[in-house]
Amino acid sequence: MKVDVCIIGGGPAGIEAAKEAKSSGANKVVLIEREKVLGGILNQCIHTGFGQRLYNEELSGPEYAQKIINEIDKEIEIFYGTYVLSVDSNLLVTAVSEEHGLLEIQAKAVVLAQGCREKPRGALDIAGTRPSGIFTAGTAQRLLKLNGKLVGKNIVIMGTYDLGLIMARRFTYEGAKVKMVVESRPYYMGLSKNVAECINDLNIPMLLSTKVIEVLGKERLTGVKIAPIDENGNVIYEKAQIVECDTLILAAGLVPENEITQNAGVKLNFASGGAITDQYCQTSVKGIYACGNVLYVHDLADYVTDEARIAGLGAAKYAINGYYHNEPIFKVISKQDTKYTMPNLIRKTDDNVKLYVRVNKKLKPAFICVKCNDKVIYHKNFNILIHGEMQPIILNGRDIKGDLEIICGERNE
Amino acid sequence: MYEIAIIGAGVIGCSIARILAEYDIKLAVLEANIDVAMGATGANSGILHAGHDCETGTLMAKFNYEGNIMFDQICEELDVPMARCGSLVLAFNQEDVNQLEILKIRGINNGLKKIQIIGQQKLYELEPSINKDAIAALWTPTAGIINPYELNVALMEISQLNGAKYYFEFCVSDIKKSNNDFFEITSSSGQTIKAKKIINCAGVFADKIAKMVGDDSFSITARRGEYIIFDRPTPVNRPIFQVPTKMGKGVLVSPTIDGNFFIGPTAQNIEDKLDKSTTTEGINVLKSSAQKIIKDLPYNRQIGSFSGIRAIPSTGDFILGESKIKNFYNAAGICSPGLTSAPAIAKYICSLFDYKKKKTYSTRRKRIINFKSASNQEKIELIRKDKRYSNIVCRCEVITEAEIIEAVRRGARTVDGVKRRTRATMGRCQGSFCTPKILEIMSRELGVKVEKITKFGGNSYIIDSDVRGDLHES
Repeated sequence: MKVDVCIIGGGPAGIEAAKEAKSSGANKVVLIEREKVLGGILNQCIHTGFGQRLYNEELSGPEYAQKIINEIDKEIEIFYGTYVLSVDSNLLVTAVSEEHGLLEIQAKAVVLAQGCREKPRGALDIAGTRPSGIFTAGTAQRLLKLNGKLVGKNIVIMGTYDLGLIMARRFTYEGAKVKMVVESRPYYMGLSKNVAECINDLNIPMLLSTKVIEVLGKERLTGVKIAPIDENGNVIYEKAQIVECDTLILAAGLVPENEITQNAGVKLNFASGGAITDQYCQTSVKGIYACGNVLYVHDLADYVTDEARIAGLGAAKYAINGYYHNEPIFKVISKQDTKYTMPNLIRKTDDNVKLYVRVNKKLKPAFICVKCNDKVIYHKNFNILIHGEMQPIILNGRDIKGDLEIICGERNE
Repeated sequence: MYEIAIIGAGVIGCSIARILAEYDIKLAVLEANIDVAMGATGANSGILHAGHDCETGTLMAKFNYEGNIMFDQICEELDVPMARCGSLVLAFNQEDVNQLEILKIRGINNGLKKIQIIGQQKLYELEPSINKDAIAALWTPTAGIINPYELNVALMEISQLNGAKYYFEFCVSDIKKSNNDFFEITSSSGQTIKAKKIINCAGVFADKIAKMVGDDSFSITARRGEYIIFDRPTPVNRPIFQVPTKMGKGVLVSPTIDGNFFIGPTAQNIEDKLDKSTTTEGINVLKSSAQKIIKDLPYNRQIGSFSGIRAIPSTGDFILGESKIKNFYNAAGICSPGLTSAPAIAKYICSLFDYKKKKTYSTRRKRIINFKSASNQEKIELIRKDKRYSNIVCRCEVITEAEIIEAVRRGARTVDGVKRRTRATMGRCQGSFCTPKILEIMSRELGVKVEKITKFGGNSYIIDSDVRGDLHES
């Protein structure tokens, strides 16, 4: 089957990219979703906080998903329960589904929107036994919300990314005891709003600078050993203590899911874990675009929208007449306390360029400075910058005449 | 009344069961755990050693060499993937090179024909990614890699096909020899089995089993080895060793037959024979030691760490044959190179008996079809035959519902059992996405509530209760 634009992933990014591609004039647009319904991870996010930017409402994940699904153009062909096996560099998409068996779709442009996954225990170097009872926050959330199953009764949550904070509240509501939330860094990683509403309001102890050093239990988890971390980042083993629990929930961060991306020959950025893109969401392979959490982990679903529209528009233009941004390209280099920026490449332009900056630690009070050819082209002070919340900045495109250096730091008061 | 009861369904017990099941006798295999390959077989390096490590004249040296040769036929008959990729031992200085010379001579004395010391140029042709400080290496092309638990499952399946009866969760607690010259074997849950002969393949607990009948001629020490496993692709093409020490072959870097790679094992004697913990110290030792082989390992692609337990014999060599107690045989103290030696050990043990073959028996078994590695045409065919091949359950490893159902049909009772038979949950996300789906499929196929499904038996339940329900009393 031949199509103009093929979008991989039917979450908020994919849906928005498909809509934009269609309304920008692409003729045949297909959207591939591996589950039986659209919405992606939104379907298990029954907490509110979605849709403020788009609809000016406080919606739950499924409500928000339904709203954006309702707006999908009827001409977009949606493949449900369809799993993409591969995308090659000639934009041939191979997929499999019950209805169609093996499916080969030759696309003129592809938008990658597969989302992300969580870091499992195995990636985290937690010593100890290998009992049952250790789950990533998303798995526990899925079991709770889609299967109606509770994974445990006495719970320790490791990590302070938003999903862990939200699950602390959800477990409490469901009658489980969340004994504590521990974070090895001296600051939390999620949104301040979530810490206030999910942790502090429910009187759940949150221990910062505390590491889970061992898990205990031969069959089911029986406890975890925790220890404080000093200012130099060293674990103080003599102050270790055992916390009895039957469940450990990991909220240690998300990783863009880029195996299809890599196999298509797209170059990745090590710091963000996603594709290297310019401000038009163009990847290193012509005709392949990326948006949403497959590109980098967004703090809020609403932020995905703008990016998905850019990707959908780019894919449509490329599919219709091969239009491709080919202006000279400049690198965005993350320096001092900058973890990464989005995009990580900027093409020469007279327009304003929006750049999202993620810092690698808490900075208070903070500044962001952008240099081009050793000249400062942007400098702004902020009360606080934290890892969990990306800071958008607007640069004047005319100032960008070479590679950019992004410098974040603390101000001396 | 069984003619023979094998105690322990690891790779040794099941290798013996494979041969004995072809004979016209009643055969039982007793396993304390819920599945095969849950002891040393489940967590080791998965390497078919060429045979230059063991001291010439030992049983270890003899069976390593003989066992290695037997794998081509076994893997072909049992449809178990294996690769003869060879192995390398690296030298970083002249002293190491001297050690390689010793290993080379030992290898030749042990029977190896193809063994040579290669220089830097050939080494980097074979392994472009390794540390450029290595100056020479011992190259043995006959070494290989295999998935040990897949082999173990295959051995069980072929023996079951030929009539062997497996008793799982049968933890032997007592053995009595009756006056009528048979053994009465009792499990901790009170089950009793009678057998004329016993073959003790109980791994780290083989000494405990032997003592039950009065054989106290040996003891077993548990020596733990920790590993870190990484996602594909692998930077090395074959197992790469450092010069060995008295505690073992040292930390190596090796690909797995499935395309992942690992570093390990450490070597630490432990009191509690079931303590499969990983330790902060162990992981640190691994990382600093593996660095000698490959400088910048991609820890962002680390997907797991685990431990295996070796059964180290007090005698310094494999303990094989009839004990001082008549009709009680040992295949004990099978530490490295135990996996490689398994077929030869089994052949030797079975040569001690004199039974007639059954009129008919099977020698071949097919593995569970792997959808991912099928060609597009085969994929179309598979889906046409069974549409459940189109439902990808484990996204990281591309494992279908049909494969999971087949694993359950073949005896997987736990999530780990499904994992070891299909690779579901063994990918990058380590089951974060697919565990709920696997639980649903298993619950449906086994006809039990998901709360009853465990990770690996015992109390390793996964789901506590329905929301607002109450199942497991905490």
